[in-house]
Amino acid sequence: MREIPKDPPPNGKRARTVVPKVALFGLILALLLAGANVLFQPVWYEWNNYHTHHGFYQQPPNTVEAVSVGASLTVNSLIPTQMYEEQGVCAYNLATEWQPMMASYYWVKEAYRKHPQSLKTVLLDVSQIRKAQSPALSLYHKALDNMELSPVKVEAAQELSKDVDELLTYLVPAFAYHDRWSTLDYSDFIKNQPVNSAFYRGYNVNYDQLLNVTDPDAVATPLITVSDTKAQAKLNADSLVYFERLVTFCRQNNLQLVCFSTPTSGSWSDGEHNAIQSLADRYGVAFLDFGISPLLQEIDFNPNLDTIDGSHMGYTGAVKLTSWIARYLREQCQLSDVRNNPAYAFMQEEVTDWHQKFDPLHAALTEKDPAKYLKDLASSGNYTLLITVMNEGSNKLTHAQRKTFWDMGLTGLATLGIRDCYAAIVDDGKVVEQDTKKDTSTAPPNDLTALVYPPYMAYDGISFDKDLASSPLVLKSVLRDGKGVTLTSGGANTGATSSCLIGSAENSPKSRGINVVVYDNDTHHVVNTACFDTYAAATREVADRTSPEELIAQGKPYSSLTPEQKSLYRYNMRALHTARTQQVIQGTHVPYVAQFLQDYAGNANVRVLLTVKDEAAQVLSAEDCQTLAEMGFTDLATLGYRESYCGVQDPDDTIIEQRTSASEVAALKEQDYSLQSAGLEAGNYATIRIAASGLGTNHATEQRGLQAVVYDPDSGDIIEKVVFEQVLRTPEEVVAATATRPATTTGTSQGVPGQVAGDATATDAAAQAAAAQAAEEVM
Amino acid sequence: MSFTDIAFFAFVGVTVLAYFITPKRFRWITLLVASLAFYWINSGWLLLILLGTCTVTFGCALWIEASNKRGKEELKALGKKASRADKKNLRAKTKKRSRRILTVGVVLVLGALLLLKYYDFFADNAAGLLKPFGIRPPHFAFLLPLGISFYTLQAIAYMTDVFRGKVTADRNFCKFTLFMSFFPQIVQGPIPRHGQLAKQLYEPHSFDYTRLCHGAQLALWGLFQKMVIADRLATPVSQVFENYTQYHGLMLFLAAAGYGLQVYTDFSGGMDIARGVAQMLGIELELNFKQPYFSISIEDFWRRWHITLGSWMKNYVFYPLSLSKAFAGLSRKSRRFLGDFVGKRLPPILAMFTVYFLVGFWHGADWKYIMYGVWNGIFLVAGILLPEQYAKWTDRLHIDRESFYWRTFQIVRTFVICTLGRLFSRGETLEAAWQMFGSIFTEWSNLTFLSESTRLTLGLTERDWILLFAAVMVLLWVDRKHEHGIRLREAIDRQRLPLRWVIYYGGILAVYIFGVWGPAYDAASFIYGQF
Repeated sequence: MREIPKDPPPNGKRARTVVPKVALFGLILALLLAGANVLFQPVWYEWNNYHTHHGFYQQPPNTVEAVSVGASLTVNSLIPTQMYEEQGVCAYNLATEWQPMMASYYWVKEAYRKHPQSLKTVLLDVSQIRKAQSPALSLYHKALDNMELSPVKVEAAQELSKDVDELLTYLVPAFAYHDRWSTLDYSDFIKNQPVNSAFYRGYNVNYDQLLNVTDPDAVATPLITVSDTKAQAKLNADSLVYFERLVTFCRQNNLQLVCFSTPTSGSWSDGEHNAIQSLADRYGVAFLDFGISPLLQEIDFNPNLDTIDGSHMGYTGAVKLTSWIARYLREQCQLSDVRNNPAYAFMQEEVTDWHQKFDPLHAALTEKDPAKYLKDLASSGNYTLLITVMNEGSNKLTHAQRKTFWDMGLTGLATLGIRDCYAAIVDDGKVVEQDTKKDTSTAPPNDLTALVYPPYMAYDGISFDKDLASSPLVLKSVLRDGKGVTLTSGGANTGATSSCLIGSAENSPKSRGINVVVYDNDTHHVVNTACFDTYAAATREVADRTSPEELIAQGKPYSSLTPEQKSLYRYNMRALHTARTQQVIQGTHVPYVAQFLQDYAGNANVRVLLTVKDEAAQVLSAEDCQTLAEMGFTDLATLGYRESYCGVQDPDDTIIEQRTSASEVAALKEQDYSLQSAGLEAGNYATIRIAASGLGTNHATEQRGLQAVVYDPDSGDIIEKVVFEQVLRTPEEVVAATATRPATTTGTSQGVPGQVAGDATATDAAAQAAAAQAAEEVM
Repeated sequence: MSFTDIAFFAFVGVTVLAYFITPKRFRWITLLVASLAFYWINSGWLLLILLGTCTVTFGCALWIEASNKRGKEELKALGKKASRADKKNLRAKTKKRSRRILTVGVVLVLGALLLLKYYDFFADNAAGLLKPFGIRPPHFAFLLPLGISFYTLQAIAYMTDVFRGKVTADRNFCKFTLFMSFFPQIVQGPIPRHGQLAKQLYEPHSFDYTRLCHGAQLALWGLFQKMVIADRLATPVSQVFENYTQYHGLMLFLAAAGYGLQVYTDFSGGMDIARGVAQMLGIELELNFKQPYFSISIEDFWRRWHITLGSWMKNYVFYPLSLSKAFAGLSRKSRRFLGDFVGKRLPPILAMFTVYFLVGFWHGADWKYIMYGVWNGIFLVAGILLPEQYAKWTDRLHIDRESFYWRTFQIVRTFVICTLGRLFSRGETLEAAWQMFGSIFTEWSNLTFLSESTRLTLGLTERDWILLFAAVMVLLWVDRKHEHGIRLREAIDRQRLPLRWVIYYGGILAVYIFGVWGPAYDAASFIYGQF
């Protein structure tokens, strides 16, 4: 065999220089790669994702008693700080945007890893279990990337990964995000500055209300009750696997698992409720369904006021839901009240931080005075105020307001002249940028000074010779977090415009006067926008959020309500009657028609028009008939099988009715309205026409039953349309009930509420002729 | 496990470590195990086809050598008294016998390639001819073993070299299998010659820190070319070629040029990774690219581009064909009928056409690849036929053929010809390639590619374009240095340590950050790995 030369003897000197060099090279490389990791890791501020995870790791160990996991519905629903204030419960909301059930499971494990001695209860939002589609991969990253590198995270990453490369994308952020090199901006380089995230405790504050963006008439009403008890929706198979694992984990670690579903308008079904309920029953887990009665009513949910989009809770909805759940945690889950526990002193600090941050913002929502609005928000909460003046904003500014602006350093706003352009940026109380362009067409400076400047101001520093506007003022700057901002202000003669671009997103309300955009430096979101039309008035009008039902109960007519209140009233009445209809379907609510009429009787100064198509006597229960008779609806109370009927409840609660035999058409006609009713044998149709909305429009439908239209006689606004079609009596019962009444003859009667009519169907040839005449005209 | 996977570099790390801690006598076994493991990980049971090729090649080579040896012994047995005619007869008989064995070996090895890679192509083309007879050849869509196009040529070269007596046939099947399957070069070459590679593989190499560093640097440079340039270019190039009807004129030309650059950086990058990894183990693989963008003619281009394929074609196709009896006869006859000028050149022209037909066909089982080969063949033949005309024209125009401007013109001319040829190799179909070809020459007025919106529709951001431009500048700078004979790695070695490390960290971070890899990118596989 050929001789193989041996390796040369090791050169000790070379090894001594090479090994440390290689080690140092590797160390520096590791540091560089670690730096790249930090740089490329995206920070998601949407739905408060960043503060949720960041804040969680700021919590002292073994302090959290309850955690909630789930998707954005929960992010916006539960306020742990409020739970602590109200019930002394130390909870943390670990929900994130579209959090996959798998991530929920691992976040519970992570929470238990950090708080094994204190964690007692897990609140699970079931929205991901019911979703047919599994979340996209990016959402797993969003949910898990901010989890600390721990055995829990490694386990989660291993489950998500097919190979080593994929595993590394979960454990080494740059593996997943190095492509962000082309989108890095200044904000990426400053994102790891110390931030107090603890006091958010995972809750995402949102003061929006659906009412502000959507017509309540277009908002669906909640499910209220389950009508089909057998329907079962198909649940997400992936989620079910992790649900089972979560149940097992909770059992093994003596954690109480509570499932819940947040209230929603229209996106919750019988099948979903039944399937989740059945799942919860199978595993012996509590299920709090706020999507249906009775919890829905217990928290007094109104999607228009309590949600931002019908499903995601706004602040008011979150407060309602949190209050109920906090009580449940204390009473049903036996969580302790830790408010006097010295180990939880940090919670009091968080509560203080919370109020410092959000109280001014909350107050600003209803603040009418622009000076006070700006001053309050500038002085607390770490907000940046982006101010632009559009068209004209100086006309009604008071000296007191100008002084406040001056004291704040907003000298340009304090000295704002007619039709001037003005833009400013105030960061946490400090005016960092402001600029003015004077309108060229306004009076000379001296006159202007005399007109708008209070005598206590010094004007020496202000020049009127330059910056005369011939085009809108554009102010470009960079926010503290690195986002670019471009403010545009155009006076009446320079474009009459306002713009507030943060990045490429427009935020300005774009209305005449002083436009303000409030940017939260901590959450990197616009948290409020406002416009003060200081051309027209020194203060703004703030929407009156008083309950419209309350106002109407106090005697205010519908026509005097604000447009917002009118919309809300319409929605509320629709929701009320939809709920009642569902109860009627389940046989739990009688009387039905009578209560509907009672809801409008004596209130609101509205008119109710009633007609029958085909057959309506069966939709009236015995209780209905009795109550209707007491209300003065004598013809309706004694309506016979397939008889025709028209009725009117006037704003002054006068009742006008006409009932005819089954073979005749009933009709009522006044200047404001025209009604016709034909039972099955009389022609089987119904018409309801209102002069204010044009007599050509028939508001009746093709549905069988008693048709009701409620409207405001002053404006012609239709408030509600309902068809009562649920059969509550058999024809035999109807016949038996009407056998004792006087013989039916066509005629019109007028009833008085509270007085039971005697012979309401007295023959009146003239009325009969009038009815026939009316029918002919309308036809 | 692609060359750009983390797993590959972990594999390389383990292999290098294992190689140098294995006793020297067994280091080749470490390489063999690593190579077979690599092949198994990538191709699974298709490893058996590789082993089958190894077995056939190994056996045929031994058989050929035995035949040659028997011929020599018979010749020896004839003694000095034997007539020259007898000796000549015996030599011819021996050669014939050995050639038969070689033919058997080539048919078997090449047959596997033709069956697995080209069967469907033949079947499709035969279908048209057989249609009148109601015969429709079946489709099989065979799985293609990794590197089959490369190791088949390697096997043929080896058997031929044994037949020609240039190399001695391996006696150790395992060592021969290592020669055939060496993992850095199995995927996409270079196509090694036994005489150049085998000895390096079988002999043990000592650990050398500097060589290890140089190997790592070369691999890093390969990654840069592949991941930063080639894979980034893939997006706009695919966008244009897959939607060629939406683009016109200059845009199509630029896309073809982009594809040329993509193929170069992809293939050359892969080569540098392979050479770098081999170098870490102490093995020098052949150079496959030598600054092809500085070529002054198509002939020059093919001397710089895929050098080992060109060399293979020259040694095993061009020379055997052009020097064959048939071609010699053809030359004689053509001189008689067509004159000396043509008759003398006809055999090399025909051999050249055959070579480039095969080059095209080797690239893929499609007529467009054949056309790609023919396109190159046309210019190469022109290079054979027209050099005197060129000289006359340049003299008449008083052009200094040694001047910088003339050289630049030649480089640009070659670049344009190569770029147009890319239309055939990258076009979706041959028809599409022709359509694009026509559009380039008829619709020059459209310059919409200059607008930002057009650039963005090509799938890259502004920053991507800037990065791409900068990376290509770096590539050209490095190529220019190499063209001038500057060995950059040694030049870096001469720098002070901080600067050296800045360069290393810069390279690593450039690939780590700017490389097209990870879930955000659907990284393109190596183009030549598909051949």
